Amino acid sequence: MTNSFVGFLNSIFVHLFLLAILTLDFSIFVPQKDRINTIPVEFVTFPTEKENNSKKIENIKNESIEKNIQKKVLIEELKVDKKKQLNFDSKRKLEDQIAETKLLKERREVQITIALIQDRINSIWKKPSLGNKNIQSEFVINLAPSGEILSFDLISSSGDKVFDESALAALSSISFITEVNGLDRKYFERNFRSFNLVFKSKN
Amino acid sequence: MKYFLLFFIFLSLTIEAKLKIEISQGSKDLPKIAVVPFKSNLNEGESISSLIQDNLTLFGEFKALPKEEMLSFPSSEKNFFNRDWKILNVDYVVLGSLQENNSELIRIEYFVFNISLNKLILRGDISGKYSEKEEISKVISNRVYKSITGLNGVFNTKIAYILNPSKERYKICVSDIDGSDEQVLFESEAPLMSPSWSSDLKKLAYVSFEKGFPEIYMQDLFSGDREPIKTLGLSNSAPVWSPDNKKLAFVMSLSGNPDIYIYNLRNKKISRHTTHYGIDTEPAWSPNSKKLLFTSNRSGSPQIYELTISSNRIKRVTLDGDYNARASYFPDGKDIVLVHGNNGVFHIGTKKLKSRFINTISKTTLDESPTISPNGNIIIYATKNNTQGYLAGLTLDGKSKFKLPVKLGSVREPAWSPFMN
Amino acid sequence: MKTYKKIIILSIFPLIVGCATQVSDLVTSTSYASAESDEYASVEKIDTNLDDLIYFEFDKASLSSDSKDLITKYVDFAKKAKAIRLEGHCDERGTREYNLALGEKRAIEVKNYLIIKGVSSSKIKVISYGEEKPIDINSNENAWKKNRRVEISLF
Repeated sequence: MTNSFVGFLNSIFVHLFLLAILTLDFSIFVPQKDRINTIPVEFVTFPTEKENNSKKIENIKNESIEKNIQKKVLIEELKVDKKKQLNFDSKRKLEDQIAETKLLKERREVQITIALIQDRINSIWKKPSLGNKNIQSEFVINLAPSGEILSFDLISSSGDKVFDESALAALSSISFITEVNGLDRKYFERNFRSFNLVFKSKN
Repeated sequence: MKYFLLFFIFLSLTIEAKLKIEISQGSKDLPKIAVVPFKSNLNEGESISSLIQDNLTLFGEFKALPKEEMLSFPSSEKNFFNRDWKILNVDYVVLGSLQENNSELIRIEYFVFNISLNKLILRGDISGKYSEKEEISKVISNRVYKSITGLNGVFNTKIAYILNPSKERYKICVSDIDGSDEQVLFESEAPLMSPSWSSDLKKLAYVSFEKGFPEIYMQDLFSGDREPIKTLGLSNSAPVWSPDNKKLAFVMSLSGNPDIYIYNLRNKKISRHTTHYGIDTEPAWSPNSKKLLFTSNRSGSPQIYELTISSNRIKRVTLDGDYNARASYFPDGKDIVLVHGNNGVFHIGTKKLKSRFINTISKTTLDESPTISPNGNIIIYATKNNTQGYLAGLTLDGKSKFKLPVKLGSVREPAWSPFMN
Repeated sequence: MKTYKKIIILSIFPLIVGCATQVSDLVTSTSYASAESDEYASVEKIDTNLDDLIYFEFDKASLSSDSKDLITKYVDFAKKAKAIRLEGHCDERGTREYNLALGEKRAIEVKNYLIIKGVSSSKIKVISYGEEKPIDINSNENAWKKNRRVEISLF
């Protein structure tokens, strides 16, 4: 061996050593977890926003799911309420129907009695012929449950003495309105104890 | 749900409010009236009371109690007992007495009682000549009628009409409302039409064909003088005296177009009030002499129109029916009576000016020329039975119908006189 | 019949006089009473051998085509006649004064048709009797039909 050969070998080693130092990634000696991954500049985003968004979306999703659940609960609650209400309604309905039937019955009885009274009074009222006048006399009649006429009074005159007197004459000629005799006592008290009679010259 | 509530409330309200019963028909029965033979020392008492009874029952408004059914014969309030009449279901009693003062004069005292109310509603007395007992009875009847109905009586009014005893014999007549005391005013071989009273009852206007064409004559009822109205037209007809007695409305046809004209009786001037080329005829005055109803076929069929004289404005009055004619006003001026025809059947109808509805009141079918009583309660009209015309009447409330006494020959075109005052 | 003829003859003259005053505006007092003139008193009615009657529908004054043909048959006679009288009538239904006017309208329809056919209008006189002079006084369709007429008389 020559000196120059050793020297040559030395310079190769030194050059290789320098090359290694300059080119080798010594990061491979850095533990994995401490390495820093570098990313090309173009693809840089803000990882925090994206995360936030997805979080938001998640939140919203969660919210709506919750809401749906709430809704369902409400609906169910309402259904229950309605059922309760319906029960209450149909009860009320039934009560109304009963009341209505009672009223209708009373109404019918009263209407029949009215018609009978009208027939009776019409048959005894000698209505005067007045040409063409359109007038009326109004009386208040007070009855006893037996139908006895306790009193009658002119409360609104027609303005025509003859007409008023013809009505008075009709009322004077009867002492009992027997038509109320068959009536339920309650109906009588409510309707016929005291009522008004209107004599009209025209229909 | 809420409708139920409303219904419930409504129901309870209607039941709980005070009952008001309406009575509007009245009895179909006529009021019963008893006219007791008047007490008298002359034996004439009964003739007076039967005259009064005949008057009161003339238009079928009352039913008279026959003398044979009376339980007592009172002549004043002193011997009058309400119960004697109440048990007979009588509504009114007329009684009285007759005194002869000297050979000619009589004095009558009369009373009217309302039996249902047990009270005296009229007392009065009247004196006059015995020979005028019919007139006196009419006055008493009017007063009795008024005390019972509130309306003025028409028993002393007259009716004018045309009598057609045979072909080519025509007469204008005036009689009492019951048909008695008929007087012939004018007789002719040519047709006579449309009699009309003056408001002061002194004259009658009518149409005469004596010269071969229709002309209007005015005849003085007392002197018998008659004169034609001188006009331009060849046809003059339908004369009607105004209530204020100043004018005559009539129809004149110039060049074949009949129109409504007014003749001023004072200055003899004639004014024209319709110009339509159709038929305009049958004028009738309103009670205040300011308007005229008339018949016109300007719409294609005869209908009623109303003309305001001062402005000549015309308004159509009838809308229903294919033939409406010969309308005239009731004394209140708010309603009219007319001839209402549909499909060839003609009835008498009434109508309120303010309403569209025409109320048919007669049941006979060839009815024409209605005339209203001056108290507005009765209508007399002309109708036909086979080949004879006769006069029929009815009360406005429809309860009474009657016929006037039959005449020898066809009777038509009645005209009720105004009140005698 | 004699009186009827007399009345017709006597009434022709005042009708003619009346026509003259119709045209003027003056209210002249026409003396109707003196109707006669010898000339007209001797005028006789022309016998045409035709029906002398034109018929009409209820409440109508219009001429049917049959009526027009019938009237046409009169035209020659009418042109030669001195005077033509047209008398309008109605049936009894409806009201009297209205019928008086309707009868006149009917007579005028006939008059106008004659004029169209060349008859001089001054010769034609029109009068209406409304329902006052029926031919048949019964109350049925048959009678009414006969009464709704215009009578033609030529002199």
